[in-house]
Amino acid sequence: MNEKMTGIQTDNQESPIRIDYDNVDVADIMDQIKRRIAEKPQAPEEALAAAPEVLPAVAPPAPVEVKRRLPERVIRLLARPFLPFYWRLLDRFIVRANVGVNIRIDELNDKLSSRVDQVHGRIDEVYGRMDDVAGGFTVARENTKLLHTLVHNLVVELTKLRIEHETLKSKMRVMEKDFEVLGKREKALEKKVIE
Amino acid sequence: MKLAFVVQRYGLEINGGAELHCRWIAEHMKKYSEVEVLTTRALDYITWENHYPLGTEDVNGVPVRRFSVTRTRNPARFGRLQRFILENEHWLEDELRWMEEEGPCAPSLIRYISSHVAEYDYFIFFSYRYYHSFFGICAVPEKSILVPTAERDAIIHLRIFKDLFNAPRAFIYNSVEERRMIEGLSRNRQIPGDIVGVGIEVQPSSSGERFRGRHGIEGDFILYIGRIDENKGCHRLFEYFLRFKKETGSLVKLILIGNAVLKIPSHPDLIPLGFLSEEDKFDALEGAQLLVMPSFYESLSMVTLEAWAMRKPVLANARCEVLKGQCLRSNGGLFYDDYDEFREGLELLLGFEGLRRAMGENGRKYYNAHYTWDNIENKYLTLIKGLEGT
Repeated sequence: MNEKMTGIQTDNQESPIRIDYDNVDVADIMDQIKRRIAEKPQAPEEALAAAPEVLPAVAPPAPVEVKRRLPERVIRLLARPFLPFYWRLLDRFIVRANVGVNIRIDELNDKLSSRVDQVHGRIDEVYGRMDDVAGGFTVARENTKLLHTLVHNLVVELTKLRIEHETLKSKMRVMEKDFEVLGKREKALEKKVIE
Repeated sequence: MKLAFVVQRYGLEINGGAELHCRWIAEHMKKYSEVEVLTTRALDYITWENHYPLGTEDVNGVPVRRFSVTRTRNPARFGRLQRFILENEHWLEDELRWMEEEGPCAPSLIRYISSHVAEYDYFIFFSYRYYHSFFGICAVPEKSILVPTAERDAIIHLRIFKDLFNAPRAFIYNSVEERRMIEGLSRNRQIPGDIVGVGIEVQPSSSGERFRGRHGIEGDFILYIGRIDENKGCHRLFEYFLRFKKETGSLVKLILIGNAVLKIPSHPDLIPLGFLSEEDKFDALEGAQLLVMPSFYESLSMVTLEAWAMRKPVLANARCEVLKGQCLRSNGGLFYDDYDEFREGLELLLGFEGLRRAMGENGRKYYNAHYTWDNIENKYLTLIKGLEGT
């Protein structure tokens, strides 16, 4: 196994990327790169440098409240030897907390990126379902449109038939009158022939 | 056995995409069966104007039957319609109208397919999104095999494609990601298919020195091959590369091979060489430190496979699922999601020759396992044989 520790020279600091040249694992290298990038803005040195600025915000308990229970002199006496340790303790706690947050962020980041593929797959499925629903909706809408057109056509056809009917009726009335006239004429002619 | 390869354009002038993919497959499959290509007379993929003569011609030993495009594409009108379809509620008729606008509208090709079904055993359609595949598969679903060459773009979510993906007899996918996407969208798992892709032939006598001498290139360089276009992520590549140089003081150059559609920033280390011959391209790959692939949408990326065939690592855009997946499966390249990852990845690859060599070897192994022509031809034959049995 030819495992080597390589380094990337950036921002004047050496950050290790572990690569096994005999068995290169791109996923692992990418994880290391992502971790390295995530660590960059809050590298331990930077966190240490930033710590004093953070500490005053987390001030020790207000003396007024303590005063109620213990005399101020006793508190001052007790606090004097304890205070440096207290600050140091707090300092370490906060720095660790920052590094811990970074590590946690990395873990979450990893989980998130591994979830992205699943989410993509899920989105595709949802799209598929949406297509189904949209398909059903489209079919229903097409059917409604078709029925509407059908009804419209029926009304048009019925109207046409009615007009046709009226026309035929009036034609029939005309023909009846013609027939009547012709009958009268026939009788008149018959009468003349007999005479 | 007689196979018909149906594709939107076909010719020696077409140097990339599904058309080249189809030509290579057709030329290799002629060893095993009678092969014919059914295509249009178009050369320009924007307007689909008729360019080639009507009728049958021979291209590298493959008979090619060409049909006229009856309606050229108006890019402005097509753009408006596509925007409307993607942004508004619409009818199926609108999607069909989009398909006709998309083209290449060649009804005589579809009529030919419908009336000559009996003469062919299978019709292998390339590119799902064009007129010839949509109406062609509708005409002969029981004899059609679709090579979708699909990317994760918005158009794939159109309703008509869900039906299309459930129609063919079989699928030939380019990648695991493409298959997952199509199966997820159309739930067509019952349709048989295989992940095949395309074979790559390596130029045996490639020489990086010859390339350097011919183009006057000195020092280390990374390489981009393909159309220099915003759609291919080149604008982001230029931005990242120039920032990388500014921040790290690296002397590396970026050589660009391909026709430019995008304005290339003026910088002495950004060197566009335009379109080059195959020999020159492989010489460039031989001389390069690595290949960079900034594209957001790829269904396979043949140049990535070519780089791996030449034992070169790849730095790819992680937002393209296919490229990311290929890098992870092959262990032949790194990928980046943003500038920080681009910088880290590029520094790592440029800084450590051993890593480049190891990744290049992994890429070559991946190529040997999946993308040699023997592999590709066998997969096609196995799939077709499997269909005969069903």
